[in-house]
Amino acid sequence: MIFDFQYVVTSFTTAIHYIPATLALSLIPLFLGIIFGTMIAVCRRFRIKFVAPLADIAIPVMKGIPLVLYLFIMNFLIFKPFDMLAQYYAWADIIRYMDKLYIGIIAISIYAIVIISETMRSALMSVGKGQYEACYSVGLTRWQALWRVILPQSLPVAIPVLGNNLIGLIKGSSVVYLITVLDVMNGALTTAQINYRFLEAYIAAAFIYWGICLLTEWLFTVWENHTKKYQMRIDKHNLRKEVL
Amino acid sequence: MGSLFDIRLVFEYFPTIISRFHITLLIVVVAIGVGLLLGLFIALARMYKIPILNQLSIVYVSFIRGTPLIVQLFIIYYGFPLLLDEIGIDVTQWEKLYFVLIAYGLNNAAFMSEIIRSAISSVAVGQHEAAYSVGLSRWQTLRRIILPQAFLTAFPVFGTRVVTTFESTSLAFTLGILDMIGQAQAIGSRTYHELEGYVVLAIIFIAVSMILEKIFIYAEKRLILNRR
Amino acid sequence: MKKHILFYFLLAVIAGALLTGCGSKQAAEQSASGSSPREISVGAGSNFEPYTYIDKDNQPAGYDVAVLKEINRRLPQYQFKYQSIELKNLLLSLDAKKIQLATQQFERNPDRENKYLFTNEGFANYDKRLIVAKGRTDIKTIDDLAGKKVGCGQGSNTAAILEKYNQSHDNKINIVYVQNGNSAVYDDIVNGRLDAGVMTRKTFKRTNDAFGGGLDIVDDNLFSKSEAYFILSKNETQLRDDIDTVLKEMKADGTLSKLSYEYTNSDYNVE
Repeated sequence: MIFDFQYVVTSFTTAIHYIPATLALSLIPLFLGIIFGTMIAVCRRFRIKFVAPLADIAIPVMKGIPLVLYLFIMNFLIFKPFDMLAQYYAWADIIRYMDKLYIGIIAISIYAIVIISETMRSALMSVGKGQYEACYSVGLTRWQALWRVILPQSLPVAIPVLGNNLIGLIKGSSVVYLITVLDVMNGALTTAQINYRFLEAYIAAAFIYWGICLLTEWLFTVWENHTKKYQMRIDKHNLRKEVL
Repeated sequence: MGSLFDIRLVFEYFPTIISRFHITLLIVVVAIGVGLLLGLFIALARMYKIPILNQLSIVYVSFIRGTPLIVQLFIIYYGFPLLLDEIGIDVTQWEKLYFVLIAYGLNNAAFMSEIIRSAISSVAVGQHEAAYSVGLSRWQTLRRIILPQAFLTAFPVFGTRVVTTFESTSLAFTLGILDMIGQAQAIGSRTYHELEGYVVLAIIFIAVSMILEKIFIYAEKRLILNRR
Repeated sequence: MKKHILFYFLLAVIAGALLTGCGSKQAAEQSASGSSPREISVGAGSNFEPYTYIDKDNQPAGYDVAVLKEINRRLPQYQFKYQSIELKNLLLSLDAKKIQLATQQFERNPDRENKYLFTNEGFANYDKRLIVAKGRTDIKTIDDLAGKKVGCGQGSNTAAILEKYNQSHDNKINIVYVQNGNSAVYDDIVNGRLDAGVMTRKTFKRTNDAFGGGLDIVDDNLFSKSEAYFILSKNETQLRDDIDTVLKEMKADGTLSKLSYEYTNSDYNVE
């Protein structure tokens, strides 16, 4: 009765302009997550002093917190204390005038680092102990072993899971709509402010996310098949994949 | 507004917030229950390539997996009543919690169907053939041979799914459900002490998801022991 | 054997959950059909003190709700049932027939009138003005807002006016959607994260007094002119007429003024 597809189109054409924001909210965290997540995973694998035990406690704890909470806590933490600091220090202005988009990126990045460090850890675990021993026996240092032998082998294992992680981040990034960041979700809703077609706006947003996720899935499958060429054995029913 | 963080308020808010835990639990239980039943149905439709149902299932699963939960919640919560209204069912007096339960159930069904499907397909083809060769029907094979084996493979992933579902209930408050997060937000907007409420929530979420994980790891070990 | 136990346990949990769910639904239906007054689901906004907010017992409260309760008292053929819904979801809830009546100081505008039914009688003055940080003089009219950051709530009439302005002008206003109501707007304007906001004189006074007086109101001209109305779904003309009659009564016998003073410290028809 009230539903009108024409308004879905209106919302859709507005919302596609905000795709870059949604990509920034998922790709930057993915990138940071891969860098820092791998570092944490490597530290835990090599049992680096202090860092490894700390990560052993922190990562499982942080994994339990939903993304929404990270977002709310960051949203609160970034403004209130810096408003106070700004009375004394001029540099605090940079942070307190920050666009909410960056708060979203920071919150999602923390979440991504936690999730991806777990991905990388299980990828590192998939390389057998014998590989390390073999490396050391031919005189490679720890670092060389990691860089030349272990990581190249764990990457193909990690790629499909990273793909799923990215899809999780793209979908998860929609929660920034709650702190009113202009991403695809809120972009779709801007037209609804005038014509009150909220349901149509949500449906338009759904189509855009669906499109992005399908594309991401396809890209990662292509990449996975590419890396598979150099490796014969890949577990076809890797059930642990469906994590996020 | 005063101080930024008051540790005493954390203790003060804790009972109020945890008193809404049953709502979260209800959502998880129903979502998993509906998800398992509907998910099995979808998985079977795809396994046995039932015409139309198979294609519908593929689109459905892809849509649910490719769109944010929050969008699905809104579409189901606000769109579903319109659909029901079209076919003449009056839903104005329904509790809004029912719609949230439906939304979470439908969401979970897609993920469950994928878990079930890959678990079933992980059972070797020879098992099917062997079962048919001793004269079991399709249904008997499924129930007596395939599902028990698939259950074991699926169990760890199922555990992860339960934990994920629990965490995802953190979005139900966007529909105005007064669960734990809704309660914390209500306190926050009344007293301007949001942070304390969030800390309480974080503690509860961490504790429950860790307990759930421990339970599932324990159960998994017991299951494997029993197999031998 | 153990695995069977676990399996049945899960089944039992599911069955239990479904049964209790169905049971309570039946109970609800019975109580609905048993009583004679027609039940009307009312949605009230959730964070707009003193008009619509959630009190500490988690119940909807405020001036709007008080007026509706008085209306309901005078219309025994209806039974209003209240729930709190965020502003941006209020109208959507009306679309989805989850509620038949919505209130959060709704202003009339043509797009809203296309989709919903308004009461003919308003129940509060709702002329809005621009709000800026104290001592700021560069913002006087909506045209001065171009390029500036202006805060408003999603689904509000302010949002509609600003978005419309942006559609027809090249020099666009930077609309920032604010989530937590007027306290957040106050905070952001004082701290310079927003250049301006839009409020009624009453809300401005209330917010400014509550948080320390860091704001100024633009006296020279109005941002928008309207009264606040109740919004109903299109087919509720009978209910609309009944409410209009009662609102007229309440205006005549001074009840509305009394309620307005109680909640907002001023009469309903003054700015």
